[in-house]
Amino acid sequence: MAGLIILGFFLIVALAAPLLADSRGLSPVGATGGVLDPPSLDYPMGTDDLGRSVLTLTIWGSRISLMVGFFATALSMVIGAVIGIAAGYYGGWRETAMMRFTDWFLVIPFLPLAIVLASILGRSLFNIILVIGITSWPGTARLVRAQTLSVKERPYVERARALGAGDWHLITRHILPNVFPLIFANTILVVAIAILSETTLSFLGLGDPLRISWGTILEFAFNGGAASRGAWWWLLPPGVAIVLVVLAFTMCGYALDEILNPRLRRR
Amino acid sequence: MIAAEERVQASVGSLLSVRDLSVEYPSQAGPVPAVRGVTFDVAEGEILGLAGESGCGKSTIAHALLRLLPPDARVTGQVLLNGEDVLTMKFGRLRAVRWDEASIVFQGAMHSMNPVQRVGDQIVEAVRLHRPGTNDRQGQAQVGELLERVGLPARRARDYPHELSGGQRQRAMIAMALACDPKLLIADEPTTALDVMVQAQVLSLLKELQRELKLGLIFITHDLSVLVELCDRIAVMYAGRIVEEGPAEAIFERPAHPYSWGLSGSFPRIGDPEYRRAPGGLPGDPPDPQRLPTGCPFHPRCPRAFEPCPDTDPPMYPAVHGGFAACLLLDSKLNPEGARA
Repeated sequence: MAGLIILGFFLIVALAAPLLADSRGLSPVGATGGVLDPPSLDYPMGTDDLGRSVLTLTIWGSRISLMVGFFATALSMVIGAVIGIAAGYYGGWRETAMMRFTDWFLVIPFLPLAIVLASILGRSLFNIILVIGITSWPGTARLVRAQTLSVKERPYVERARALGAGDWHLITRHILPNVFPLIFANTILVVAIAILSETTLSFLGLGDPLRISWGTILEFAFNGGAASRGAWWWLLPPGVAIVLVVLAFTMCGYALDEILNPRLRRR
Repeated sequence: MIAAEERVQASVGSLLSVRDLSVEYPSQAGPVPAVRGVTFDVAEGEILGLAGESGCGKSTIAHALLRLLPPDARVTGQVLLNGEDVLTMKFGRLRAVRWDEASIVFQGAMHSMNPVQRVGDQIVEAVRLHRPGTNDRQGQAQVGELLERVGLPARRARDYPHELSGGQRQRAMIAMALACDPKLLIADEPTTALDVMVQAQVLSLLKELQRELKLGLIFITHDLSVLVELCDRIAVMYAGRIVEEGPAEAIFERPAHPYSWGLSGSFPRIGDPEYRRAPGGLPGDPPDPQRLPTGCPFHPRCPRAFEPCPDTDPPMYPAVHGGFAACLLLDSKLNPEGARA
C-alpha cells in the first residue's frame, strides 16, 4: 500500500512535470539562481553549480528515469517471455540452445557488459533502454521457462492439442495466459532494477547527455564536487527519489508476488 | 490363429479399425512396452468397452488413436479412421482430423479445462479451430445448443470452470467433444472422479447421445459393471494386450478368460451375504511391463494355469460366447477336456 502511494506520487510528478516546473530551468542558459545556493524559498532544494534549481532538475529527471525504467523493462520482458516460452514449450535441442544462451547472458557481469554496449552504441536515450533491456532478461527467461514447463503438461493443454490446436494457438491461448501473472509480478521487480541500472549508467557518464535523469544529476553533482563543497542539497533530492522509487517498486512487486503466488501467502 | 485372420477380414469398412497397434515408451532401462499388438474395430453407432486394470495400456490406446502420445513414444501398427491411417498422415491433416472425426472425453474433467477461460469460450475454441469463419454469434448459439443437449442451461457458457460442479464439468466436456460432430467418441474413464449418482447420470447421457447421433463410442474404464450396461462389445485388456473380446453381456456372465472371471468376480453382488464373507477378485499385482512373465503373461496370477502356460503365449481362440479369448484352456489339443464355458 505504502509502495503504491509512493509510486503514484512519483508518477503524478513525472506526468505533471510541465505544470510543476518550467522546463527552461533545465538549460544552463536559462538558469536564474546563484551558484550552489542552499535551499531557500525561491529554490526549495537549492541550486547547482550552474544556478539551476535542483527541484526542477529532480522533477524533470523523474520523467526520464521512470521512462527508461518502464521501456527497458518492457523490452526485457518481451525478450525473456519469448525465449522462456519457446524454450519451455519446444524442448529438446532448441531448449538447450536457448537456455545456454540465457546462461551466458546470466553469468556475464551486468555492469561491464552494459558499459561496453553503451559505449559502442553511443550515448542516447534509446540506446540506454536497449542496453538495459538486453542485459536484464535472462532471469525472466528462466522463470518463464520453468512455469511453461509446468503449464504445458497440464491436461487442458493436452485437450487443446486433441482439439486440433497448433503450436501458436496453444502458446497464445493456453500457455501465455497462465504464465502471464508470473511475468507481471516479475515486471515490477525488474522495473526497480532497470531504474537503478539507468542511474548507474548515467552516473558513469554513459547516459544521454541532452536529457536529465536522476543519475545525470548525481553525475553532475559528483563531478561538480558537491560533496567537498558541502552542497548536500544537490545530492540528496535525486538520491532520495531513487531510493524511494526503487523501494516502492520492490514493495509492490513482493505484494503482487504474494497475491499471485499462493505458496507465499500467510507465511 | 485362423480366428485372428477372420477378425482381420471381418473389419473392412468399419469406422475405426486398429491393426496390430504397439506402443513402447523409452526409459532408462530400455523400452517399456505399454501396448503390444492390439487389434480391434468399432463400427458406426457401436459402443466398444475397453476394460482392464490400471497400467494395462487402456489410456495409452486412447491417446494413440489421435496420436497424442509424447513424441518419444514408439508407435507401430495401423489406426485406420474412416480408412485413413492416423499414424502416418501429415501433421496438417492430423490436426484437421482431430476432433472433427474423432474426439475425446478426457479422464479428469477437473483439469481438462483452462481455469482462466470461460467454459463457452473453450467449447467455441473447438469450433473455431475447425471452422475458422465462425463468428461470435454463431459460436455462441452453437455453444448454447451443445450445452442444452448435455443438460446444462445455455447461460452456463459464461461461467468459469471452477464455478461448475464435477458432473457439470464432465457434461461440458462432453458438449465440447460433440462440438464438431465427430463420428467417433473416445471416452477415457469419463466417470472415475465422479460419485455414483452423477456417474449414472453421465453414463445415461452418453448412451442417449450415442444413440441419437449414431456415434461410434469407445468407452474406457476399469469398471466392468459399467461396461456391461453401456456397451455392445467388450474387450478386456491385460498387460498391453486384448485377452478377451466379445458381446458385452456374455463376457460378464460367462467369461472365457480366467482374468475376466477375476474382473467380473471383483464386483460386489449387493444383498448377497456369501459375497461379503468371500469377496472375489484377483490376487497379486499386474506385471511390470518391463519384465513380463514368459508364455501367457497372466499365468503367475492365474488360478487355472497348467503345464503349457509358462512357455506358450496364447493366440486368440474362439470362445463359446461368440467372441475370442487368449487362453490355452480353450485349445482343444492342449486341454482336451474342453474349455470351461
